[in-house]
Amino acid sequence: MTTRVLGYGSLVLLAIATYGIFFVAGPISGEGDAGRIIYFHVPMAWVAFLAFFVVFGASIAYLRTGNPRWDRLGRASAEVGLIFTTLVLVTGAIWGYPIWNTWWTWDPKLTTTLILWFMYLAYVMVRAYAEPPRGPRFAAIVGIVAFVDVPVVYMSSYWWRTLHPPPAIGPLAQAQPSTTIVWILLLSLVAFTVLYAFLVRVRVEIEETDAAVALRGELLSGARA
Amino acid sequence: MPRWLCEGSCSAVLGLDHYAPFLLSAFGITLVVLVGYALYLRSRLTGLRRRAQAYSGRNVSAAAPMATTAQAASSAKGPSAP
Repeated sequence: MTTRVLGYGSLVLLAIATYGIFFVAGPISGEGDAGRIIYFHVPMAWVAFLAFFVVFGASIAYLRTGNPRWDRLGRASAEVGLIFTTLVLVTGAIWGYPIWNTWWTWDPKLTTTLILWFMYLAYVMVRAYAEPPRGPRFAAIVGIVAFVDVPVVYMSSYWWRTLHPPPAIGPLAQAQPSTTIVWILLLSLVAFTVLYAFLVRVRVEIEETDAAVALRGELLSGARA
Repeated sequence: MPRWLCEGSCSAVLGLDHYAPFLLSAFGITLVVLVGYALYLRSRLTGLRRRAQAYSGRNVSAAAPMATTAQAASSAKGPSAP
């Protein structure tokens, strides 16, 4: 029931956000219509940070309690976060070409984001290929260590002032964007957060059903033996 | 960047400038990846649910006699040579 509400809710919110991006928001000054990419590039980056924060919390909880529910939540959130980070890198490159005249540059923000992507790719691979009970434990350690890079990515445009612009809104924002920009960004952020919650919920459900099927299979083969 | 993707027509409909191909490519890729991932998750969940239902159809007590016979036959012969 909740999964369905989240699914339909994210669809409706994303449709409204899309309308806002194309028909309400104006072009960003100096960037033209390529600047509209920030309306989904930035919220996806925030959601990726949220996803990795959930992995961090779930990893600590798993190491403390050993409850497989935390492991499932961490695994689901890492996978969804990795998808969002991939999209952040791709949409950022597409924005960068007309604005910076290059698809990629070794800017600190871009480089630390790429490192983040590789670290969570490592998490997903460790979790997928290492056998339990070592796999979940190793993955939890990777999930905690990898999170160190999240604040580095966020702060990188302050610590090393290079090409990437600093955050447009938030506690560390320097310029005050127009109300329309802020509202559409916030709407898009809510839409992507609901979508994240939906995808994680479905992914956790897959893990739980998979575990239940494996258990039933073991019971049946045990009964045969 | 494939300019043929949106040369004139969609820019006119959406009122976009010459950066329209970049915006629409980024938006399109995001849409395709997220919808594709959601459909992949849905199909995986449906498959697993079907397997779970198939297992619940065969209960453990019903499987037991069939399994016992198979075990006795194989253990009498021992492991088969390759």
